[in-house]
Amino acid sequence: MPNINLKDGRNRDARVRAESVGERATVRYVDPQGADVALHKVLRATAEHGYDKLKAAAGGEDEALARQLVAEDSDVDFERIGMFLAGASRVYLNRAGEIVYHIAETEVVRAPSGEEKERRPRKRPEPNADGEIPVSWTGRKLAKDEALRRFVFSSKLQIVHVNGLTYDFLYGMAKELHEANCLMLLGAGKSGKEPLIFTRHSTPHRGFLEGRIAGDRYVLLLHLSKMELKRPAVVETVAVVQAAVQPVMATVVRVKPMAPQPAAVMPEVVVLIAPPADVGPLPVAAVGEPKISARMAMASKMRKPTVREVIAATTAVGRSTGTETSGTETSGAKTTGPETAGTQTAGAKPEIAEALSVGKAAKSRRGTSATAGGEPKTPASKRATKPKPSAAP
Amino acid sequence: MARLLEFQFQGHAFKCGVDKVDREALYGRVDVETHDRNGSRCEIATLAADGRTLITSGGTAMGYMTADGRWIDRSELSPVDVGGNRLNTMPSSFDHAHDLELRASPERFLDHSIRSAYLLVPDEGGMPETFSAELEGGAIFKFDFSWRGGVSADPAFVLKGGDGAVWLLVGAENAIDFIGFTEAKALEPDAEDAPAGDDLDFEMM
Repeated sequence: MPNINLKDGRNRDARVRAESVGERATVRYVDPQGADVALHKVLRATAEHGYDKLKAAAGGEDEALARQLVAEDSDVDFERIGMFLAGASRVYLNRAGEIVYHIAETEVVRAPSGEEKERRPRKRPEPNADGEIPVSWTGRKLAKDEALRRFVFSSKLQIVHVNGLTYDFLYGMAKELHEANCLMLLGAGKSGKEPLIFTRHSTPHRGFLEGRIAGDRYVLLLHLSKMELKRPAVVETVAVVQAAVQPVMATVVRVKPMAPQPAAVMPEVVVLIAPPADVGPLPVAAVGEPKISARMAMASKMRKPTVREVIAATTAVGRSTGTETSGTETSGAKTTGPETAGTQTAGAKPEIAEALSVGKAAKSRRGTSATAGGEPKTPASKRATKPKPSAAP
Repeated sequence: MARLLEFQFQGHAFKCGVDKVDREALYGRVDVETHDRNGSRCEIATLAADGRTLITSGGTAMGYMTADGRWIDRSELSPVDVGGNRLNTMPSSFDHAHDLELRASPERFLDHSIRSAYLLVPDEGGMPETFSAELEGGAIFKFDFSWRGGVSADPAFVLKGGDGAVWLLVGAENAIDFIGFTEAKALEPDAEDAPAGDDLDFEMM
């Protein structure tokens, strides 16, 4: 089991043990005589006796292959089939079935809908729980009852002392958390906020420390989670609304960033009847973002927004973008403004997204886009796939 | 169509569909593609210990062997517990109703590792008001759950999540004990701290 370099709330740190607490299997199988049996991995078929190889050997014709199988049992290697497989290795084969010694691995990141979002060289996370930088308390406490309703704790490690000094150290931690009746979020890395990685290439987990005491005995339990307890987002709905929001952000910014807009200067409002045809890959709802309900999205498509909604939306945009886009008004070349604003607004206030979704139609109806100068260079499809960094591990 | 679980709560029967929610449904997934120097896609395979037998996908199987090396079919085997006592099989949890009487404290819940999370969606009849009120008040209900049936069931919990949905969480209990001063463990040695052994070089002296 791994060690962990742990730092408490008083910045004291020590290396201690993190023990597995998983239960071992209690069910086993016996033969009719009551004797134990063993499970073995055995060879069923080799690559050289696969369909493609045999077909090629039979001249590429299925009929010939069938005759050969009946006559010679050429699909069975009597010398090797059934042998126990122990100490086997993982290898990569090219299309010719030859072992490849130099490979390049690419990660293909897919959204919950299955759509491809990104391609990148494979990342291989290195352990960070037992390095020079200790895993530390972030100071963020969650009541136990709240934490268990927000996160799925898929595994646990019990933190155990390794000598007298670390007993005092860990007991003090457990006592503090026990009295606070809460879990403490732990963080790794220089920032002290990174998820925990215990072994090479393993999935990072968020760690929550729980303490219990009984007399001079203690339990310090590290709950590990890689998933929140929440319903999957309605991705289609989000895609429609966000795609409609982003172009109009530039329009609003160019009019006047900070000031509320009177109804008279607002672009003509037209109901968005159908989702735009150029909706890109579906985005992942970022953690902490309010969900845009299907009902709300449907409503935005079915009715005209009120003037109050449009003004409220415009005002909110001005507030959220005012600082960053102050130079955009005159230059028209600052292409990052609209993208930033779009992301912020879409994630911050669903009602804004709803009201702004009508602006997409307004823009398309005007033909020449007021956002031409400030339109982000990134295609809408790509922008829609840039979620906020998720707090999820 | 989600499968329906039947519950009983204070004399009221109700049914809920179960929809599995996993990481992929929430955050998507990452596939790894492997290419050779020419950019051609590679497939993963197994090389047996003899160094010459290549095994592609589907080329291996698992089999039970007796002590004398004889292959034995799974249907001839019997499940027993640690003490060697025969275990009875139990039906799938979808085949009978579950009484939601047992409650768990947050600490008791936290003693378990959660393996699967399912959204509970009540059928047309909905949930009894008293049950909904209990969930709203923070109650956590516990029962034994087995998807397919078999020799053992897993602890399962019904609770209301932070998102307002009702969840079925299936997991396993952990062995967690209080520890005292005398129960210290040894640190796992670092790889670089391992004894040099045969690497000792006397020629350098």
